[in-house]
Amino acid sequence: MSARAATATPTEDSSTARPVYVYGVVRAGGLPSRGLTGVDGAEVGGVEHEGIAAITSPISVKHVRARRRDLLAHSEVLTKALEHGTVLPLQFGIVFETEKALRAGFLEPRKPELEKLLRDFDGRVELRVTAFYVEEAILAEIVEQNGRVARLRAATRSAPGGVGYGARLELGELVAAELRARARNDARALLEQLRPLAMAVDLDEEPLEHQVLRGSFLVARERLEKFDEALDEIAKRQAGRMQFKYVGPLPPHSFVSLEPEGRR
Amino acid sequence: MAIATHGTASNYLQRAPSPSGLVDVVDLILDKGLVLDAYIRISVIGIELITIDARIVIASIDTYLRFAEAVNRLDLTQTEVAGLAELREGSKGGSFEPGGGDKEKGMYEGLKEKVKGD
Repeated sequence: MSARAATATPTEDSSTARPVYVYGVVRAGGLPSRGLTGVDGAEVGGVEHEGIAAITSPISVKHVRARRRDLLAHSEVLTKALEHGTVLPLQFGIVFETEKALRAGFLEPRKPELEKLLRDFDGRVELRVTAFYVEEAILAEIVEQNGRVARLRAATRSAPGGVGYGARLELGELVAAELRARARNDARALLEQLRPLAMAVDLDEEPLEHQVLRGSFLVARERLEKFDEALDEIAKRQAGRMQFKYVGPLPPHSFVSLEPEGRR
Repeated sequence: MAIATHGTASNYLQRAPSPSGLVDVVDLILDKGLVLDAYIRISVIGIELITIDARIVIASIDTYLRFAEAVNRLDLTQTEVAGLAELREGSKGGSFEPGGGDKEKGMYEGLKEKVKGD
């Protein structure tokens, strides 16, 4: 894993003069195993610098448009790296002109900050949770529990096509309001159970349709099982009413940040 | 959603080791993670469209009409009777078959399709 790094001397040869795509930062020795394919189909390697290392792969500047497989590759490389230790993930799409520029422009000036982040995130992983209502189930629940919705439904169902526009609009508005209220309450209940198990929570704004909750939890590895159990219990209770997606352990995408350049 | 066959808990929900769908990945890596000021950025043409599409606006007349239609389409034998007669006491919900209206999944698939063409 240090073969590439070993060739990276301040005097640039043909390999170090090429642009490098950067996935994230790890401790030296924590680079993913060789043979991993990354963005642009290139083999993943690394650039080490005094105890820390950037996970990188060569990239051709002429070919920098992101494709579906590139986005997936970025994520997969980081997930794989997490198997070897703590990983600080970079946002997708960051390229340095050369290995030298990566050292001089990032690894070297940011070293103390990166080392601190690596310590801070040791043994902590991101878990991604999304919960959505099953449409038919939640709509049926609303019809059942809201008399006005039930009446409007009955009225607009029997009306011939095109008739009852106002009533249909009112029905839809009521349903939308019910969905919002239910999502708010259900999200609060889910968070009440999950938040105590996490060190931090990052909820995504801009809800998607029928979304109850979409967010990330920073969890200590030793609490992982507890978190699994808590979420499993929730999923069991909400079976048929909500659908869940649960992904992890991931590097702490939602929780890492650097000081803005000017303010160091 | 996947039902696990091992473990001690009830395992209604299994943790996936990595994001599988593009939408999930986009959520994670396009606007999260360490950001640097001095770098060349890969252009992500098309991807921003996806994230915007995925963030559906709830409050619109179209949405209301769609919800009204979805509610009217429901086949709720039990609730129907109760709703019409306004005898909601004792009515039983849950007689419907959930999962048929897998809107969310449909949406994700649709989004995936969109990007397949590179």
